[in-house]
Amino acid sequence: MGAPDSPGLQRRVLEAGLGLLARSDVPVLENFSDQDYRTVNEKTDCWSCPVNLPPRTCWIKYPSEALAREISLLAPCRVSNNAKTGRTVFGVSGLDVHEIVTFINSFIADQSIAFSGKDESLAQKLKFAADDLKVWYYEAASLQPGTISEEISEWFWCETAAGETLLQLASLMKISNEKQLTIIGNKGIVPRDFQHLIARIKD
Amino acid sequence: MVRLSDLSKGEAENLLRLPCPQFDDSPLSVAPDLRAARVALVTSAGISMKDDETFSAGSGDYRVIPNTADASEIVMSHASVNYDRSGFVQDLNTVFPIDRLRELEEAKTIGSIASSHYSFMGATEPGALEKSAKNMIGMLKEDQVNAVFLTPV
Repeated sequence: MGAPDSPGLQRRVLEAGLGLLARSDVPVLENFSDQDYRTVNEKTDCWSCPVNLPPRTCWIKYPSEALAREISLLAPCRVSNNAKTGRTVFGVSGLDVHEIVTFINSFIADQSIAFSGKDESLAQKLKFAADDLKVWYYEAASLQPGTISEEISEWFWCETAAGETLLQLASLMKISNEKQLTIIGNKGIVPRDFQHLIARIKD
Repeated sequence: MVRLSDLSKGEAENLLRLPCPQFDDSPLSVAPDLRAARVALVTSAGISMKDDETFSAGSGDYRVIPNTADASEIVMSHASVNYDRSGFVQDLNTVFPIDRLRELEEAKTIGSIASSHYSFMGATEPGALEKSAKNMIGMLKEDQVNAVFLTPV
């Protein structure tokens, strides 16, 4: 539906889609005129992280400590952003962000951790925890005007201890003897465009 | 809204590999005049209410999103990690244009909005959706819905 917070564009897309109902020359496949869509993207300011996080070189040997520090630094940004938007989409794992960090780090430390999920497997719980951690960071990062998805993704996976932790998580799930952990480790934690970064974990 | 040229090479190639079926037949019914249409949203964004069960990969079932739902009550458990959800984080309407639909109702562009909307898990085999889709159609008919807007994610 176009870029976020573009109500005019979204409405025109919706109207154009519903307008196709009047057509009798079906089936219909129409392109939506993308002039406005382009304008929205071109107007977007350059995004930067709302706070200065320690660079990767400072924490690479101690990512779990750096993760806790990042969370404390970013927490006020997330609170402000969520107050501004009036919503949060965090919560799919059922854990708070500190529980997520503990849970993921426990698995990284010991892949044979006991897990007694009622309706879900360890692999599924790890995936939802990873999804929530990303959402938490994205909500904090979205405070900055001009947010665009590519820049946030690049920042998360290449510059944050959270991204590094999820790369580490995926690398361990990939080599698990349990099939579901392997499947989700391969395809469910790290997007295709950033899979190559897992190699740096092994170095 | 995204264009192939906006995607990474891998994502674009993946989409181009998907089959594009041809249909020889026509729609089963005549579309209503929009001003008399009762419209529901059907999305494959894998969204659900916070207190509802989350989706799992390949799940063929659906979740009901009441029309009265507030954006802050909706979460996403879409299985695909390649689906960039930063737009959803910023604005629910990128995948579920409920605010825009309300505006169209207020402007009397459409007749009314359905009592409930429906969410499926994207990237699911179509065959796995058939039973749920038929069930959903019954619910839509019961709600007097005569037009749906699909947001494939």
